[in-house]
Amino acid sequence: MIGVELVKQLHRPRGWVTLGLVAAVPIVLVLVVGLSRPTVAERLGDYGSVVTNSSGLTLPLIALSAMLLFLLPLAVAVFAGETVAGEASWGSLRYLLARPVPRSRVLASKAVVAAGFSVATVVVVVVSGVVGGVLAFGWHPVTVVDLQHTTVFHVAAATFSAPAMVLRTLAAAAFILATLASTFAFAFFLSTLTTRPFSAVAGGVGLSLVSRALDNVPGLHALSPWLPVTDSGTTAWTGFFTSPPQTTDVVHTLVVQAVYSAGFLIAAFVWFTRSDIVA
Amino acid sequence: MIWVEFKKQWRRPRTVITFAALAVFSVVLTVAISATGSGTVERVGDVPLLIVPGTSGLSVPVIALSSTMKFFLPLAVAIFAGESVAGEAGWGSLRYALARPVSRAAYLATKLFVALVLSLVAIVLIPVAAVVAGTVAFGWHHLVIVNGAASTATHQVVANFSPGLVLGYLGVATAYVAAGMMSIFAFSFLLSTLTTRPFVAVAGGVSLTIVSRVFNSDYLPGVAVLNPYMPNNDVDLWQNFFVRPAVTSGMAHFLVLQVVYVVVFLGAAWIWFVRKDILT
Amino acid sequence: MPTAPEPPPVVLIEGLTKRLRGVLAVDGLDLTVERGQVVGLAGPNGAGKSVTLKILLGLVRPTSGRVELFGEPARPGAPALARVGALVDGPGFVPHLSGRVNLRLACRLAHLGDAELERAVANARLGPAIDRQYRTYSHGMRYRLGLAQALLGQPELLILDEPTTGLDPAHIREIRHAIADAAAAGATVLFSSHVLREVEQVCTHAVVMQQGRLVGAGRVEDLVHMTDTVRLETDRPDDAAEVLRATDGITSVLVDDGAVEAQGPALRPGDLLLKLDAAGLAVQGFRRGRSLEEAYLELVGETAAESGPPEASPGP
Repeated sequence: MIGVELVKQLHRPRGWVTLGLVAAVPIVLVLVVGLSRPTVAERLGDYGSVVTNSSGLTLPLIALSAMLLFLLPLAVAVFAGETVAGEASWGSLRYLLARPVPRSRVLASKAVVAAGFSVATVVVVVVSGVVGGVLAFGWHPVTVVDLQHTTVFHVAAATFSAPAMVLRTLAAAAFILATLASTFAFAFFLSTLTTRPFSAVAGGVGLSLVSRALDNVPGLHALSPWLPVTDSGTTAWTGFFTSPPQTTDVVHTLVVQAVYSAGFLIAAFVWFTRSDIVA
Repeated sequence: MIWVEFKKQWRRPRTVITFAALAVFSVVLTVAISATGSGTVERVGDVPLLIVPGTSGLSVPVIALSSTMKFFLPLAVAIFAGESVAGEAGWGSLRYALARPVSRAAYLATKLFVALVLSLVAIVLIPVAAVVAGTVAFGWHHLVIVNGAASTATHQVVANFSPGLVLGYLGVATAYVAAGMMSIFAFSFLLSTLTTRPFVAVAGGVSLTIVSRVFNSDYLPGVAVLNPYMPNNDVDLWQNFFVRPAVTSGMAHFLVLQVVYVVVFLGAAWIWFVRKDILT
Repeated sequence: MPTAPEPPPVVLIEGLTKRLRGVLAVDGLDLTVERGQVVGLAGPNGAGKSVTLKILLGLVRPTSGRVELFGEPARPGAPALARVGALVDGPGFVPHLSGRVNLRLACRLAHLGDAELERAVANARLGPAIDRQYRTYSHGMRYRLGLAQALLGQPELLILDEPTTGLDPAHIREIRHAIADAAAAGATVLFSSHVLREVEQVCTHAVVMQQGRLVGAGRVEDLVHMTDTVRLETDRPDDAAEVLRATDGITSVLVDDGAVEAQGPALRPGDLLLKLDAAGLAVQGFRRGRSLEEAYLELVGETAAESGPPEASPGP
């Protein structure tokens, strides 16, 4: 079943275009940075700052930071939102379901393929960033200045060798994927409710945007730890690049994501297995 | 014709919900602030302004306007503008509305006017509700701006504004923010004449806001050069009213930018709509 | 010697009720379909035909009642669905894939091999278009592909919901032949239509629904009163009517629209014609039985009269 779903989705221009665009962004950044030669350090979240052209290995991080706000949630929402709603809009959902297979299995196969594409998106960004960055700026160690512990008298910094940097970058990428999970799950859930894929995608992106907007309202601080997408949550991975690594935010964010994702996915399964397919 | 249009749009669930949500936002904000610590210092905007909400109810409209101008207000404006023409097309009633002895330009102007009025009501709703809720919760006092970082324990008072003055500033600020929403409004309106799905027009307006945000030098290196031309970035300049000495540079530029965007988008909408074939 | 237990009916519906969006789409339906029958489900729009078929396929859950497919309860993912082929609410395929790939995917899901795929491709009779993207297909081509998918794996039960909607007469004939071929091969066919001429021509049995309820069911022959009704056209209908009334074995005579309809058990039309000829009355035209349309209208008209003004129909 997964094979069949894969064939359906692999042939879509949409998937390849998204991956292509996503791969292009780091390349564009390489060009921008290369042309402007900034020597001022780029900030990475709350914890650290890096100098962009000291090493090509900073590029994946810069790219991921830039795309976190909108492009990555959008890509993930597209993959998740298209799954069931797309099939319903083609009129082929009823034929997929009028078979001797439990509905939960059908839904699971769709979820797996969509998740695969989402993972591929982040992987593509990292690979493209590493390749483009290293070609342009070289394979060098990276120094990350620890902003939290730097004072006027002392600059706290950590230097990571190239292989260590790659490893931490992969860890950061995995974490970023986890922060996208709530958006994915919500878009997936919406996909089971509507026959218009666009609505599901927009809803997924909407969750991300509204959550961030609420996070930024001064006075609603009490709400922030419980929101699915927050500025601090999505940048907690920068804590991997200090020495020693800061992981409190990371753990908290992972728990929040797990709760929201589980909630939306369960809702999707319950709805899908119980609803009447009249479309 | 305008009256008919008003009746159509006013009672829609969409309209009612949007207004209700905006009004409630200010109230919820006030409740949240008073519950979690009206005594703590809140950092507002990039200026930055540091306010202790508990000292004056007039801090609430400042906070409310600051937090909604970058996403929720553009969203509301996009909803009203995006629904206007595309909604009719989606209902299938556009062709009947146009097959009458009324020029297309007049029809478009009616839609535009009504959507505009609704948007302005939405924008004004935020500070008005906030003033009411804030005054009820924290009182009608002077607005105090302090310095330092939000996390330090002691602060010095930097400026002190009488309530009347703050109200005046808020009035101007609301007008400024409203003007700042016009580029988004015009873009959504243009999309509304192009598509039969209101959702697309709304999403387009929101996307323009996002693009504007992303092309802010904070997020991407090297694109600072584009910043002054983005439709929604300098909408926070009104916060400079509360800085001493007051700074107003950049606001005129922003207003001119809005005019340019509006002329371009609405012009395109007009040209397109007057000429196109109505097939839906 | 113990006899083998009788196989369960292909479809068994008892007291089926379905409430959809506040309206009773199906109201206490009883229906049984045995192996080899070709059953036509007739009724106006909103009668509940589509909903009933979707319940059989496990797409819609009944509010109450018993629905069994090959002896097992009909539910989402029921194993019995492996023996069913369907075309419901029009064909539905993945637009950016070719007809062939769409069929291949369907084969994989049904665990069918390449031989079956080739059979289906031949069945669809689309020629080179089978390798073009589905979104480029015309209405008729889409239906052909949909029928080919329904016939994949030679299902024992074929469920077709309004299979001839919007098709031109040539395509309609194709569908009719496909149904006849399947029936000849031993399949059971359940198809719904509001074009009664089709039902009359193709089906062995007919079920008439209205507003979610059954208003008539039985063999088509019986419904059209094939054996006990005769309709005669003559220049002097009243005189003919008198003659017929006086004949033995005629239970009722109606004059309607310049024609005479005579009913009686075990009619022998030939004898009647001879009688009328002897009375000097020439018969210009005669037909056995009514048309299904007439029978249907009578059934539907009766029920409307009985139950008063119609409730809001559940919609298409």
